[in-house]
Amino acid sequence: MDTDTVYAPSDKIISRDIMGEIVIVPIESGVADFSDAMFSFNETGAVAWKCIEQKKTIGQICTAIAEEYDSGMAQIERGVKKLVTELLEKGLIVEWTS
Amino acid sequence: MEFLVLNKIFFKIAGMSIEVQSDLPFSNTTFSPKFKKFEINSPLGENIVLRHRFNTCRTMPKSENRVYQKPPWAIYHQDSQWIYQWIRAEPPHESYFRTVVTDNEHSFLDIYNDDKMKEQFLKGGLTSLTMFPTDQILMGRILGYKNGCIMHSLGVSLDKRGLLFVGHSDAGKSTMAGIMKQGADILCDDRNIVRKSDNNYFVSGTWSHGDVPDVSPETVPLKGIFFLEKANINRVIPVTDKRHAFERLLACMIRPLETRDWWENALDFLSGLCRQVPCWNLQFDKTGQAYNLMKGM
Repeated sequence: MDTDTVYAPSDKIISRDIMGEIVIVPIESGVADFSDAMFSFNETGAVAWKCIEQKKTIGQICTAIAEEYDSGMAQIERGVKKLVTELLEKGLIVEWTS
Repeated sequence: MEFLVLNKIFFKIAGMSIEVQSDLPFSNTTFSPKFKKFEINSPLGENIVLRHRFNTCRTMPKSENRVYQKPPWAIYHQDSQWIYQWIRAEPPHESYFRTVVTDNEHSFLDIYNDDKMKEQFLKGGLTSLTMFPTDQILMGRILGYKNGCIMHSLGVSLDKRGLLFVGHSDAGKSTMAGIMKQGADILCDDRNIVRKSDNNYFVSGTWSHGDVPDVSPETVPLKGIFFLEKANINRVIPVTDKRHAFERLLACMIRPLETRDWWENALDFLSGLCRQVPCWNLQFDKTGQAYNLMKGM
């Protein structure tokens, strides 16, 4: 996964801030079975999601997290790539080409 | 058959009126007796018009404006109108049976019916005002644009305070309705409408009842939402995790023909609802003591 790649939320989901917690709801079948799936993030994941909404690169997402949390860049990058892979697998984000 | 010389009938639901118009005359028996409690003589301040037409719709949707297709429904949004088509289940889906054309706000709906529906209209005993298998298909859409939604729930009015008991089939809604009948008015034991008006939430009964035929068109302020849990004790536990409340409410919200804009309205509505109205887990048994719990709250 290239750190210059940009991802964006799929048009088959809606995200909402519910009492300070970001919640993702799949709105079409084929994304996830709605009855079983509603996704939310921990604090770091929420920062990453906001970056994805702003169409930032993987590298920029890592930098944004590093500014807020005291972890090594290599560890952050591993975590972000793992999150992006999961979100892609679940169809919640897509690769963005401007 | 005795015909009333009327081409419009009014019904009251969720604090607004539904004005049903028709190209054909209504009779005393056009609609099922279950609507009688909801019938009123004149429109309310907020009025929705459903006009039944028995001719061919001339408004033709363009495929590039299609925003939803999941047989038997296709939805188009064009020229400040929504067009709903009841399409064939099997491809090609182009053939359609019935069409609904509505304004952006879903306040004036033209329902175009075919000859088969004309026969049904004349035969009478219709179980839905929209002449669709259930009114919740179009009502769920309409409410999405009117700060409201339909909940799979038991609604009651206890001393003019609205209580909503939420749960799917077998959650105990009918049992709870039996318990609450000791001193509360049942709004509906299966489908209730929740709406926001002037920054407050209200609950209203519908004609779509379950085992308990008692329904009421009344609208009362919504004071509490209870997630039903059959148990061997009676107690209420506050739901402090609002995300959990949101998830459970979402699971019990009637979701008809989910277009993106409908979802956005519905999620905003629900997040406001669970922020403002207290939510509780209600564990209850069959002794009926849960009524005293509710009365004492």
